[in-house]
Amino acid sequence: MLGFRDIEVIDVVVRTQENQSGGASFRPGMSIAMDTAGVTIAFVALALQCAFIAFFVRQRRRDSAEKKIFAEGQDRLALIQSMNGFGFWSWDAATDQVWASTHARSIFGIDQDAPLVREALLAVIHPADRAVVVQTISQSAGPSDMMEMELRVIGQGGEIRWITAKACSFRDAKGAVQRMAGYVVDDSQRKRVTTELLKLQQKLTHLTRVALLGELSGALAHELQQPLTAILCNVQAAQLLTSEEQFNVHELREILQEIVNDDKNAGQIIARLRALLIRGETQFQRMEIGDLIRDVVTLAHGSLMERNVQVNTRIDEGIPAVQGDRVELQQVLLNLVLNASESMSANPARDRRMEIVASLDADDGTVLTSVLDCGRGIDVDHLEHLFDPFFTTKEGGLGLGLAISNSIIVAHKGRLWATNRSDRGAAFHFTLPVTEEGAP
Amino acid sequence: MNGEIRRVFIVDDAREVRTALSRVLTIAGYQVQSFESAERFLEEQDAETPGCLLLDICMPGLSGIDLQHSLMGSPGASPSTIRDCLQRSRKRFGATRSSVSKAQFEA
Repeated sequence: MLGFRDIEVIDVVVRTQENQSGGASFRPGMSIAMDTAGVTIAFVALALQCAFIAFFVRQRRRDSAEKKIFAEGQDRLALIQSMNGFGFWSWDAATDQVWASTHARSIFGIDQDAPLVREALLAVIHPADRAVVVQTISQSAGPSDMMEMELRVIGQGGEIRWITAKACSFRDAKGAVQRMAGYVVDDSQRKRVTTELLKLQQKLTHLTRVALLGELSGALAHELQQPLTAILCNVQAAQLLTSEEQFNVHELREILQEIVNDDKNAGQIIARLRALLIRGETQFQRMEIGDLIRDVVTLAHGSLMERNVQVNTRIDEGIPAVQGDRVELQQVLLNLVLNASESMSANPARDRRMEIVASLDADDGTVLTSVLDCGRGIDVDHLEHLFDPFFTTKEGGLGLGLAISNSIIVAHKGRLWATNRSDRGAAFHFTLPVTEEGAP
Repeated sequence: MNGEIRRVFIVDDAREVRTALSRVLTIAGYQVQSFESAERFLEEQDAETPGCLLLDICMPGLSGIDLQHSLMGSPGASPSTIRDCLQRSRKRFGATRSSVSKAQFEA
């Protein structure tokens, strides 16, 4: 009802303004003062009679017209609600009654004509989201301060639906909450699509990681060959040693210990590789940037050696921990390191130096990691497309490495970008926010 | 192997390989000297000293192939056995199949 009256009021205001601006236009009642008294009385009496009759007739017409408009309005409102998937609700603090539109009730999974109180409405919200929802809405200062939230609702069949809600609190002069109201949209479909996309993205991330490791495989095989060679030599040494009647037991123990160490080394190489090959959910954890850099340099060691690339790492002291997925960040850094190494392939063997630098930017609370090479640099035309999917300058390259790296860094709330160095070569930089407790 | 030449030089950057090779050859009765880099070998070893050289190909700085080339050019160069590194490295460093063969240590 309220809404339609509002419209009428606005209508009257508009008309009055028109009259004022019009100046000479007709104004009801203005002629009365100019007539003689007797005629005026007779006219007034007649006018009153007419007015009464007209009023009653109009009132009855208006009532039925209003009802009709109201019913039509309700139909339209219901149509709009169901079209957009919006459901409306409001709760009155004084009576504890909840009003919810037809669509809101079907989103919440509440019977259409069941009387509703606050607790009953809260009961359909997922327990993990309940407290957050109540707290969020009560933070609203008023209807202009709509709070947005994502929550789960448990349907009557136990199924979980994702809902996007906007709501606010209405307060009295003292600031006490009188009413809470808002609207809800069933978001399950969008959420399903988002989840699917996320899964696809993870698969793609994993596939590019596997491809990256493919590039390393030759060098990794060589690296694994070293402890295996050492084990073989040590075993042969032990065989030779013990072929004599008398042998040095102390030396034999030493040999056995070496074999244990070599075996552990080989195991570590495989473990590092395996960690990168396993496809898992993204797991954020506290980690040191220095550890990340060391891990990647170890992984790439064989490949860098094979290409005669010398790596210098410079990690500033006192860099706070960052929050990140170890495997995904290794993938990013490994990608940058291998790219840098490849960019220097045309350099003479003694002129292939790479630098990995980590420092803290105290101003914006991020850790900056840069990979600097002295290779051919990046074409200016390519700079802005470097992170586009399927953009590649390598023969046989998929063009996904940097695009995926970028999406990983963005998911870590960081930034990845490339520059050409002033003298020669390229530099890739990425930032990662420091952990809460590590923040300066 | 000639009975007089019982000396073996090992040049390998991987510590564990160097130690193990050196150990097995010492027990087998060879006189072993090991070096962590080609540069070290050139610095400390007189090229005239006869012996068998076990060279790793992939090393930081001067590679095994580099060292072999520089030794072959010097007077009184001895044929060297180069410990195999990688198929790919062979192509890369331009080493021929005959000059790169896997060392056998069966006593």
